[in-house]
Amino acid sequence: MTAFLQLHLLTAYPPANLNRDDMGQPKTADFGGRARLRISSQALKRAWRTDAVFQQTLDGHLGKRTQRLGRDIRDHLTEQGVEAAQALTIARAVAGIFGKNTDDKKAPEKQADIAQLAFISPEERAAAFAAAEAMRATGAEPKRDAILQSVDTAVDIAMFGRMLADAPDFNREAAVQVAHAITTHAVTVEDDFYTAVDDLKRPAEDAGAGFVGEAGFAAGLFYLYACIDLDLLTRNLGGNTALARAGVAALIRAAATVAPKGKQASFASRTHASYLLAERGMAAPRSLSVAFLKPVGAGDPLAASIKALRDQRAAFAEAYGDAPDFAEMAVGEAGGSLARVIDFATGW
Amino acid sequence: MASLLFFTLYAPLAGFGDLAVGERRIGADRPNRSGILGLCAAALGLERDATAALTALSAGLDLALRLDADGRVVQDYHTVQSVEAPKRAKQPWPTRAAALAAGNVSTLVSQRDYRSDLFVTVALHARPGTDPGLLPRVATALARPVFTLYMGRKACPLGLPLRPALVTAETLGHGIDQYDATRPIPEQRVRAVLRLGEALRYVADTGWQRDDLLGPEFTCERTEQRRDAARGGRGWQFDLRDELVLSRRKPEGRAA
Repeated sequence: MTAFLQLHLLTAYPPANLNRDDMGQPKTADFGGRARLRISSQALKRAWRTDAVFQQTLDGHLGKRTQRLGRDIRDHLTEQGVEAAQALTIARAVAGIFGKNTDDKKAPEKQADIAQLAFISPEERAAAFAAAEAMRATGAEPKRDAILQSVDTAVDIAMFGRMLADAPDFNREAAVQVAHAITTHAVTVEDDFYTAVDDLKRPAEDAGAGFVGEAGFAAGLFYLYACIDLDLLTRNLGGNTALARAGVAALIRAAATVAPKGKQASFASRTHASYLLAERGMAAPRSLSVAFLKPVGAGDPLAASIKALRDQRAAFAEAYGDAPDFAEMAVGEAGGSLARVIDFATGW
Repeated sequence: MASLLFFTLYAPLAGFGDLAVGERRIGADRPNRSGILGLCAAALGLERDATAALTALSAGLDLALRLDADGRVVQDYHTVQSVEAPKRAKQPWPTRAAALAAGNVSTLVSQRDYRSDLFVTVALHARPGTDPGLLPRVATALARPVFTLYMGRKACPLGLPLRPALVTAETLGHGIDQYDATRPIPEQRVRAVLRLGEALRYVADTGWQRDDLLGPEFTCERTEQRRDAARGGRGWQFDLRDELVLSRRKPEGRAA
């Protein structure tokens, strides 16, 4: 048995083209026999992963990219009174574990650097400094296996996994499952016919446009579902539950506030989720998408969608039992907030 | 009398693969055997490299499917930012950020088939000689699984609870009728909206026929070959397998 955290979000986007196919049209899917707008899971995950707030929140646990580890080690040693030449030798030996040392004779300040950026986790940095101290004390050459770590501190890989066809031993099973988001209602993709005007062309000369084109767009209220295997996430992070919780919090915040970047310059379709439901329990996870199998009608689609989602949750609980605990936030209703849902989701 | 395990598979989007090499990742119109057994293995908490346990699972169970709805094909245009691997790498990139920092960034394109509104009823039967505890263990695990379960691809979560149920019956048909009789209301509603009526078709492993579990109401229309008998291990290699395509005639003489 495993503890699963399930997230259900309702997010309304104004006219947008967030995720498009090879023809440039917004992606769609048939659901319950009607066409819906769709955002693929990979587009969502990339948007969350590369979001600035997500990156900042998990700063230090997503690693640091630098060429300058050796420089820091050299400076650390000289501050402790180690002779400059010896400090440089030690720094080059330790930094060399992460990549080839630079050999720029004209820039002596760079002699401890490595030629390429290396992605270094906090643990690896600490191990590198320890190896430098050891080499200074005993002259022992730094060992690669004592410094380089597996990906146990990289929250992004622990969440979304990776597959390396050539090195399957380094594969990671993703702890976070994200569904393609679909609209709760039927949608028809529209075409925007547009013209671009040449600012320097005078009407007397030629009144025509400089360029004409068409761009597909559509608006809709999306249902988004994600499921986090909390046990696997913690395992992927080497048993670090605090880091797993921080990752879950950052993920929920990103899912509720970050939109895919597609065509943002043309549509500025950034938006936050209007409804967020988090469920935690051992029962087999299931999406609540069947609430929208019959498309939500016109009128007040948000209120109708929230109601449909709540009703579906209650109907499942009654019919199948074993319902997970939950917390929710409905914008405009008292009592719920993103912070409270995050508190609930990380309260294990 | 035989002990049969039934469960329901429904998802808004499903992605059960077929032979897929290169850019075009086609999908099958119904779950493959390895996909269903993989789902059971995930519920039991078997890792991908638990070769012996996975082989035992595959060798111990016969699978039959009722295709309630085969859905519609959704083709997804998929791009991935990829990085050319270093030539003599002792170790792959520790993180994606490190890979991107090294440059050589390009794009991989693929076209992936999904099916929307795929609805399948699954039946499992333990082959003679199999550990009698296996089927009940699978049933318990499907209700409270170890790993996240999904319909072929990880981006395809389940749309209904699996509702695993062990049923004692003489034949597949009798068992499935008993299972259908206990449908909860949410499942009935989904079936109504999707207008599910008579099954599109049944498919079954040959073991059902060999063990005489089909009964006279099923007729084997043809045998199809599918390349979905997992060889086990991490090689993603599959052998050919015979699958019976069945039609069912109810006692009243009505095709179902």
